[in-house]
Amino acid sequence: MLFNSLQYLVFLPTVFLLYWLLPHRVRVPLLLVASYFFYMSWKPLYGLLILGLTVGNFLLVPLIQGDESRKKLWLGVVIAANLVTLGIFKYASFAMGSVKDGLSLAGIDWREPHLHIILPLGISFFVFEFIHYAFEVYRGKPLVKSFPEFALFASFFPTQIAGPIKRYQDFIPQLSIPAKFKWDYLDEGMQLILLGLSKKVLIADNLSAVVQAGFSHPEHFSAIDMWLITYAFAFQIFFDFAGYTDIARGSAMLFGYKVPINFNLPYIADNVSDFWRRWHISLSTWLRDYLFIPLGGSRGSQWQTCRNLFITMTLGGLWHGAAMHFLAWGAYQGIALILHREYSQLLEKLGIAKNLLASKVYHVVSVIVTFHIVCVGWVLFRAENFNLVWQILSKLAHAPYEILHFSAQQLAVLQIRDPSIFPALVVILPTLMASHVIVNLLNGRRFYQSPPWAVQVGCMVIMMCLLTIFSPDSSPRFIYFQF
Amino acid sequence: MGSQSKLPSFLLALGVFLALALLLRYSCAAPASIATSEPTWTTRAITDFLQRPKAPDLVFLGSSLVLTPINLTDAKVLNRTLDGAFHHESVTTGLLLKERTGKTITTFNFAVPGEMPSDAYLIEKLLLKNDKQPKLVVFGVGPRDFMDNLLDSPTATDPYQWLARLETIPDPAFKKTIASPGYYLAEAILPANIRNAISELVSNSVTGSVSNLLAASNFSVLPNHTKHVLLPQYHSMSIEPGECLFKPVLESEKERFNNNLEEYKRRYGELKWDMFTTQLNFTAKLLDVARSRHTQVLLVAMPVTTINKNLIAPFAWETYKNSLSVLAHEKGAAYLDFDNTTAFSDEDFGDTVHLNTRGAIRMIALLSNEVVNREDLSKALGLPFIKAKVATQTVPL
Repeated sequence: MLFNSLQYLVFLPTVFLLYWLLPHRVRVPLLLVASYFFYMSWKPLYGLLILGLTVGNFLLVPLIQGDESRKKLWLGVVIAANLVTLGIFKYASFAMGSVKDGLSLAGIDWREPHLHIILPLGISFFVFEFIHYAFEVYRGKPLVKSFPEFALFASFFPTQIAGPIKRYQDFIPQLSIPAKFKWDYLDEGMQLILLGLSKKVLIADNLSAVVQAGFSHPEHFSAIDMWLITYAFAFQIFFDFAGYTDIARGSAMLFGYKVPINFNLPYIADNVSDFWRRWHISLSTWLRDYLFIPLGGSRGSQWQTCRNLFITMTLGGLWHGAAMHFLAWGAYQGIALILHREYSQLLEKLGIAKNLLASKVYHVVSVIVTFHIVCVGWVLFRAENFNLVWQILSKLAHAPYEILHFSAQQLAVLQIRDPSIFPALVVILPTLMASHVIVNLLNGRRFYQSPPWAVQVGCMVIMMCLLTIFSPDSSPRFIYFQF
Repeated sequence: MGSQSKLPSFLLALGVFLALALLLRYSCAAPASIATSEPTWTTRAITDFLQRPKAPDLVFLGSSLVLTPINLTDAKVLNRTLDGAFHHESVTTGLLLKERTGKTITTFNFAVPGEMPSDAYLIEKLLLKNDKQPKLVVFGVGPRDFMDNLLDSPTATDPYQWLARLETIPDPAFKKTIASPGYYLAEAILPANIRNAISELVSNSVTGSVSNLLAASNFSVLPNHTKHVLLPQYHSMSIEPGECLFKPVLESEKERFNNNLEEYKRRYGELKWDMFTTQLNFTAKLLDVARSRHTQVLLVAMPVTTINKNLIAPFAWETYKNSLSVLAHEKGAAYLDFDNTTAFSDEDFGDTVHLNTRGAIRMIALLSNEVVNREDLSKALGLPFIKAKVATQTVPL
């Protein structure tokens, strides 16, 4: 079931009403049934997959707490079982294809078997939640005693398909609080849902037309066009995923539950490391806690730290999808993080220009440079094959020459009058960037954190009107659903 | 985003929003305009039809399966290149009927690429009436019209988007169809014609403002065919002058065969029976409306190649063919099954479904013969009934 579907519009209020009408003791079972219904409405058989993993983890993880000498072994078994499941469903076809490509390079023609595996929605997210649970128990945190609560932790419908990746220590305690209904739950939840839908439908879906055209046919666009299109993708993926997260958080809030935020104005990051503290926070912290740190983190030598960073980010890239370009994107992020680390340490060692580094000018330049480094990474992420990656990157590299001989008439985006998103890009992209800066300035203000009641009502009415008028008959799926 | 008020802000916002929607719904007359900066096959046909002073005697309905042979034949007969954006008649049919009966018959071609029976029904219902009512409607259909699983719903076509604007109250038949859920919701709140009008107004203002801001109004505009490559899904039915030309084919020329089998594999991929029955119901509704207005209909099962037919499961093909013949019989329409004749071979096709010039000429000739040789059809057009099946032709076919 998709968040931006009519089914969800019927499903959510029904569960909401039942949840608050029924006594507390049946609320967890109700949410569990609703979550399985939500999941199985797509492919009923895959309900067995999530159930099987839940039962398996619920039974196996307590073994980690047993015999001290076998803790590591059982942790390994649990992680391996989860990763093998993920591997079969997500990476088997990719692995076969890669072997076939490798063999064909060696002149061997091998016809790989066609596996007919359909990637189960959300598997990357709930598998990561199970692994997090196993690790935390290994590190001495308590077990979840109640099976329904554990099952709901993994299957909770607002976060089931594309996160945020929850931490059980934060989520499980909320289930036992016998909360009473408050209108604030409805207001805050619905505001987040409307905001999320607006981000998805009004911004991300509109930008998708530009991105699709540019990333499929870069040959029709100039270098400056391609930069605009790359910026457009940066904002499309942000608003698509941030929109999804808002809907997930809003849906959870309707039941009085808080799930973690996933984004904190990522495009005002002033270095790559800062970007990863602001982008897909629940994934980046997961990678830090359950991959980077177990690999040794930054405790070893310089080389070991760089190696750990590279492995973590490359595997993080592969987590996004079973394709070489995702792997390359992850490796690129790893290299960027290593270079940033080396650069920071060098500046620290040399102890130069401290005043300059602390200046606003340096900060602004850093934000701009970081944004562009991230955007180049998005090319690897979005382009469907390496030919296109090469074509687009070559074009982007040509931009300085075009800027020197700039003429607005060369911009293909201004020659496409309809859909109006093309010419509007030159206004919309700076506005979206400015929105990051403005929200950052407003973030600490009370007016923004808790707007007057009339402003809240007005904003919601405006969002409802815009969504009704501008909603396409069919909206593209959320980008992160595929992962 | 915390709310300290006792009155829930969401419920109030919802109330205000619904009140606004109701106000708009009942205070705004549905805009009947189909004016657009990017005319499509549909808008060009509708505009041309409405501008004609008199009702044509004969109107063709159908998809590109009908449009292509009519235009190819006319290009050949008139011996000049025809622009698909503007050519909306079948000159050849008129000439053949005149030659056979001595009477002048005016025609209008309302066949539009991608037109589904649901669209043909709307054309019949909304446009072919009163002083624009024809005497005979020739409605050509192919299996794609009932089995295209690339189409989300009958409301997802270009003809529907424009024809829906001609109605104040949306046709209830479409509410029962398999539209996307978002459509139902939006439709319940605000009808599509009002939404489209507001959306287009905003879109035009945005484009205008940006153009003014950048002084870009005199910039060159990307050619339509490039835009179709860049944005294949967006306004895919827009058509500019010169974009789709029908050229006369010389005797010495051999037309290239375009193998579009892969496209049809996707179209027929998984037969959606709800789509099939929905479109069959719209065909029935079209025949009902025509009968109630005493407009005679000739339902034509258009020919397709054997390789195309082989993509369809035998039971689906049989169901399609049987349904058409039963429906025509039940609703009092004439029925012509080109698939049942040996008139067409695979050499008569430009791809796996569209006739080439050779096949097109044969089809128009056979169709004209059918009109004059069938008493109900010739009577509908006010033509003398000619029993002879074979006639001499002087029209340069």
